[in-house]
Amino acid sequence: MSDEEIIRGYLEGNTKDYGVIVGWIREVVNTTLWVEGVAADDIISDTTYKLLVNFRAYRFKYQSSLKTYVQKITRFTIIDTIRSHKRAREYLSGNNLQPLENKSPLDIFEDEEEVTIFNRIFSLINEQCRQLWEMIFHDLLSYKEIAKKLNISEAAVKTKAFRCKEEAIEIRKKIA
Amino acid sequence: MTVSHLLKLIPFYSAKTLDAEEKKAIDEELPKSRELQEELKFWQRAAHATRSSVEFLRHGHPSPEEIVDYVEENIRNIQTRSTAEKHFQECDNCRQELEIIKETYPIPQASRKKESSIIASVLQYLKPIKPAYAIPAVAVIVICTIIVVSEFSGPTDKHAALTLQYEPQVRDPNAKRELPTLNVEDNITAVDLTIMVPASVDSTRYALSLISPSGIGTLLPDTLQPSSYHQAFDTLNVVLTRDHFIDKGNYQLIATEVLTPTAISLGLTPTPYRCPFIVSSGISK
Repeated sequence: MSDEEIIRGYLEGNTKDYGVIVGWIREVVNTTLWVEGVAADDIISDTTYKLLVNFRAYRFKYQSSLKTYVQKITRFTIIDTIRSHKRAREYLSGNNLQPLENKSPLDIFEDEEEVTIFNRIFSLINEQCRQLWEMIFHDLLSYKEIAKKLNISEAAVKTKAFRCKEEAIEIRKKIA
Repeated sequence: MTVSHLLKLIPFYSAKTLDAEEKKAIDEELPKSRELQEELKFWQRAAHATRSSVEFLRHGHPSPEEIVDYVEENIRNIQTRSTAEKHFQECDNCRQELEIIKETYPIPQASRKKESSIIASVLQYLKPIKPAYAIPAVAVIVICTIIVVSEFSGPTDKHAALTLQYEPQVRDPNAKRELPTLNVEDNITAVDLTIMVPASVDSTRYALSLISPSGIGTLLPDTLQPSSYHQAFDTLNVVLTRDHFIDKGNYQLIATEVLTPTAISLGLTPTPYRCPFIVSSGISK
């Protein structure tokens, strides 16, 4: 089976091709014992999502074998996942998420899960959304300032933010 | 302002970049609207993920791509490479990531070549002495070895296990008590017995004797030290071969304290602890 056929099958949701790619991912992921909350399944689902986006956008240029490419993306994802978990842990151990007395253990657990998932979403969301979120939450620009900077209307900025939320929810559905 | 209009302002409300009028409108509506509250929760989490991620990268940590390139030795620029090396020396987190990524590669090509060259050289030596019938001959030898081993080797070494309770010193002799039962099957070679007796302050060892159903007592050759000490109990572990259980019926294992010379000089007498049990099938069954 050629690389091109595998990609086509993967995009069409063919179980066999999906299995081939996940097998290559597992070869990398299963070489180490994952600790500190990092789940091998998280790495696999994040990698398969990245590959889906990349294949759809024709980002694989056939300069290496598909297996090499898949395993390289897996390694990037491993680092992203470790960093996401580390950031989530730092956040949770800080004062930001002191559980309230009336909060049930289930709520606290869900909060922790959500923080980790959002960190993973941020590493998977498209570049435009990431830049927009950076402008809103890191550079602390108002929507009026962002509109001026991007040379678009204020309403378009708000709509863009809304679309990014929709994309984040879509990613969440795929990885969580 | 309608709720749908306010919803679109929530990201900026979360970032505290709205003007006073818009902020006030949300402040008023927020306690009443579950939808707005959910929206705010979403954007607060997004805000944290964004800030922490941007902060992390602004600290000069290498990107995942740079780490993988470094491991694969794809960084050609000497200065870039030495900057990365320096960072890995100083940053524990990145060094840890680097080590994890290194682990994900299969055996390096160099050692793989070395391995294959060893195999190749062995085969080269064997080549001149490898006649045509070598493979069938090896197959026959392997099959014969398997047959001989399976025919003449003894049964698999299998132990049965049982935990015993001591007979309390003060008890109603008429009270019914269910005794632990041991089934010595044919393939059992030994029995692991665990006995729990009251913790002794006067001894650190116990003498054990086994009373068979016919009343014959056998003193086991070695005294036994408890395998674990508890505030209330000492735990003794003893392994007996199946020869000890020739008959089926009621057995007793008696653990008796071996007193220290000081305890004996004080006139103390050792306490025997009787642990009855039943052997439901023995060798002579």
